[in-house]
Amino acid sequence: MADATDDAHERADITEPASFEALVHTYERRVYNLACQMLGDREEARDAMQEIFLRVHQHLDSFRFEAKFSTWLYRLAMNHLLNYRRAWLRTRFERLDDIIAAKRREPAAVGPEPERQLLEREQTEAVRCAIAKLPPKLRGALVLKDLHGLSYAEIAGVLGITEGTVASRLNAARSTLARRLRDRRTADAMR
Amino acid sequence: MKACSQFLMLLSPLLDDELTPDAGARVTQHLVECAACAAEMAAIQRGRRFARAVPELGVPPDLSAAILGRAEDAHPRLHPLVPFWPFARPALGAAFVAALLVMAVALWPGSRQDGPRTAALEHAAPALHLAQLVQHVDSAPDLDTMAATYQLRRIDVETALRQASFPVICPLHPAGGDASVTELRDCPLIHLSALGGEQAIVLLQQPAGWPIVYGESPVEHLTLGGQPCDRLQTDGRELLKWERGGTRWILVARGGHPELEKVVSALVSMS
Repeated sequence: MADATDDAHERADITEPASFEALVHTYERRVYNLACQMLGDREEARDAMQEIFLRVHQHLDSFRFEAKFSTWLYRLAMNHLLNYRRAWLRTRFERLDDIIAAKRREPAAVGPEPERQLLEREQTEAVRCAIAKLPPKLRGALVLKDLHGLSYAEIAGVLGITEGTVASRLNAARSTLARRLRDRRTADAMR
Repeated sequence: MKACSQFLMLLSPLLDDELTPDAGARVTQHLVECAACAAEMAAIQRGRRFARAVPELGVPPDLSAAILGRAEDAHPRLHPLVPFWPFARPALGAAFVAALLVMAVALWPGSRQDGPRTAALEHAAPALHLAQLVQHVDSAPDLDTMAATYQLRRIDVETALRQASFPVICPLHPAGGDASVTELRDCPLIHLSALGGEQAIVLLQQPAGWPIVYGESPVEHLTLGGQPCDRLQTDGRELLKWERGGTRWILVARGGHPELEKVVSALVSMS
C-alpha cells in the first residue's frame, strides 16, 4: 500500500496544519484498515484511528525525517493498537463469534443479495474473525505483510524485531489461520 | 543435509520472494523430498491466500473531519510535552545520557552490595557501550542507521542493545512495556526499568524553567531514603522531585518496589 506520497510527506513540513490535513487524507485508509484488522471491530477502529492520528499530531515534532515516514506512522499505530483495550477484545471476540453465528442462522430473506455474494461475504467475515483471533504478535506480522504489503525489513522496523522473527511469525500466523478456517469449514459442514 | 526445522523457517520467505535464488532453490528442492514440509508449505500458502483475499474497507466519511477537529482542539495542550523530549535539544540529550549512566551504575548487579564505585563501573561496561550508542540517537534514530554508522550488521546492533540489559519502559509509549532504542523517539519521557516487571523508574534532570507536565502513577508507598523531597500533584498525577548539589532531579515511579529506596539512596550518595 505504500506509494509515492510517502516521499511528498517526508519533504513537506508536516507540522503545518494544511500538511497535517493532507497527511490524514493520505494515510487514513491505511490506518483505518490496520485498526479494523488489529481490533476486529469497526466502531473500536474509529476510536483507535482518531487516537492514533492525535498521537501523530502530538509527536510530529519528534519525527526527524531520517526514517521513512510511513514506517514511523505504522510503528506508532501498531504500538497503540497492540495495547488497545486488551480486556475488551477478549470479550468482544466471543461476541463477534456469536454475531457471525446469528447471521448465519438468519433466513435468506435478508435482502435481494444473491446467495453466492452472501456466501462470499460470510467467508470474508470468517477470515476477518479468524485474523482478529490470532495472537497479537502473529496478527501484527500477518496484517502488515499480507494486507498492507510491507517488506520483511519494514515489518521488522515497525515491530522492533529481526527479519528472522518476522518470518517465523508469518509462518505461524498463516498456518494457524489456515488450520482454523479449515476447522471452521469442517464444523459448518457438520451442521 | 539441513534439518527440517531450518527449512521450515524459510517457507514464508520463499513465498514472499525474500530469499536469494540459491536459498530458494535449496528450499524448493527440500519440499520435493519432504512430505511433512510440503504439507506445512501448503498450509502456509492457504493462510496467505485467505488473508490476501480480505478486501480493503472504506473509511467512514466523517472520520477525517473528526480527527482534524480533535487535533485542532487539542493543539494547545498537546505540545507542552514536547520540551520533555530529551533528544529534541542536544544539551538535554547529553544530560539524559548522563542520567542513564548514573542509573546504569546504580542498578547494575553488585553495585549496591559491593559499595565501591569502581566495582559498579566494571559491571556497567556494557551499559556504557549502550550509552555511547544512545548518544548518537539524535542523529541516528533507527537501528539501520546506527548499524551503518558503526559499520555493523543491524542484527549485531540489536543484539548489543538487548545484551546490554538496558530495557526501557515508557508509560506514555503505546507499547507500554519493553521498547527498543528505535522506539525512544516516540516517547516524551523515558523510563528506565529498575528491576523489570511492572516497576519502572525514571530519573531526568529538570532543566530550569521547564514546566512539569507529567508524572507517573501514585508514589505514596515510596520514600526517598530520608532525603528532602517534594511531592507534586500535576495534571492529576503525582511525581517526586528533589534537589541535590544544585541539580534538580525528577523521580517518577510506577508501582511500589522494595528496592526503590535502595536505588534512590545509591543515586543520592553518588550525586
